[in-house]
Amino acid sequence: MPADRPLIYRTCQWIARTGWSRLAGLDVRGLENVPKKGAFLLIANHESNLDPILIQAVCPRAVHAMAKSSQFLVPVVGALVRSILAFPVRRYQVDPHAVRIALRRLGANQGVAVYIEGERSWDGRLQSARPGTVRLALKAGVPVLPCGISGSYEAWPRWSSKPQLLPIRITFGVPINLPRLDSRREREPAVAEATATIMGALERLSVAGTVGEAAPAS
Amino acid sequence: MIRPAAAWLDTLPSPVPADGPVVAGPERVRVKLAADQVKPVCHRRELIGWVECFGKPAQGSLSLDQEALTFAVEGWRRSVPLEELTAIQPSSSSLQLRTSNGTVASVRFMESSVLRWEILLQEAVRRRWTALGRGRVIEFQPRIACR
Repeated sequence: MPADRPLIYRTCQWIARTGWSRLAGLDVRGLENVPKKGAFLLIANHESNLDPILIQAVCPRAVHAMAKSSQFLVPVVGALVRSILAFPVRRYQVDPHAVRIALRRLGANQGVAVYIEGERSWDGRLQSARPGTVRLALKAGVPVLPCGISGSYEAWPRWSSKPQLLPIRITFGVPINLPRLDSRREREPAVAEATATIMGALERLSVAGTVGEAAPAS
Repeated sequence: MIRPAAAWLDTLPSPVPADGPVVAGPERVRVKLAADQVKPVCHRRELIGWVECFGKPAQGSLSLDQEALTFAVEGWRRSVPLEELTAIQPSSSSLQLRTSNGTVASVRFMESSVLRWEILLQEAVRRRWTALGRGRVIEFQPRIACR
């Protein structure tokens, strides 16, 4: 029994995975790329509210997701996101506590998930990366697991109040090994190249593979 | 043929005027404010973060001109110079704005889109910062930063 995933986490995983697979269709690829042990930083594109639910539902390792802080005050939802191991980030200011929690989880050999665009896409296209996520990856120096999701914008665009049952594909790419750069002086010059590498992987994993076509696993 | 949303979006004219000032409003809005009011979030006795506490929403209007953003809400009126904004962040169907004194405003547009106002406000701030000689704005979240 996986000790790193509480019962409620596994229950939510099962409900989301089974429910979406049966009712709409869920195509998961590249599971062999998820590290079996050790810390990893899962970086995904963000098309809809379904992304964190389904990515956590299919990922075989527990994932501590960085989630927008306002969710944690919503009754029931707040308790649920806490119990599925999410932690809050205030996105309109630099939030050192969120970074500290992420580094603490990675230091404990756990998985952390961050949506590099920082916000759901308006039109389904990949948005630009937030440099803070890349700085976190370089500071942590753990493998970056790129994860592309496609079809979720069509299933639940941000301008729609409810989801439609449409097939979704989730593809885990080959982990990217970035150097661990502790000092800011070392880190800053490396941000642009690391951003290009991560976004290139997400582009291949998400945009290239529309649901129903073959998608690359790396 | 089903056209993707991105293709439709590309057919729309930009809300930013090619020449001339970026002005908009007054627009009907619902505003919630949080001034340094945060609440700890704990899980299993561990402090995992902080969350802002917004007050009750107030209805009013929001206007944008070349120098400031003006809120007129239920009897009071406040102009925020654009250079005092420190972040512009869309959040679901609201736009979160933070000012240099730590106030965070969550603005919900009653008859307009968050995306339209995000684009307009970003462009207005970009132009204002350039006019003040602060440089080129490179990001708007988690803080407005320039190069």
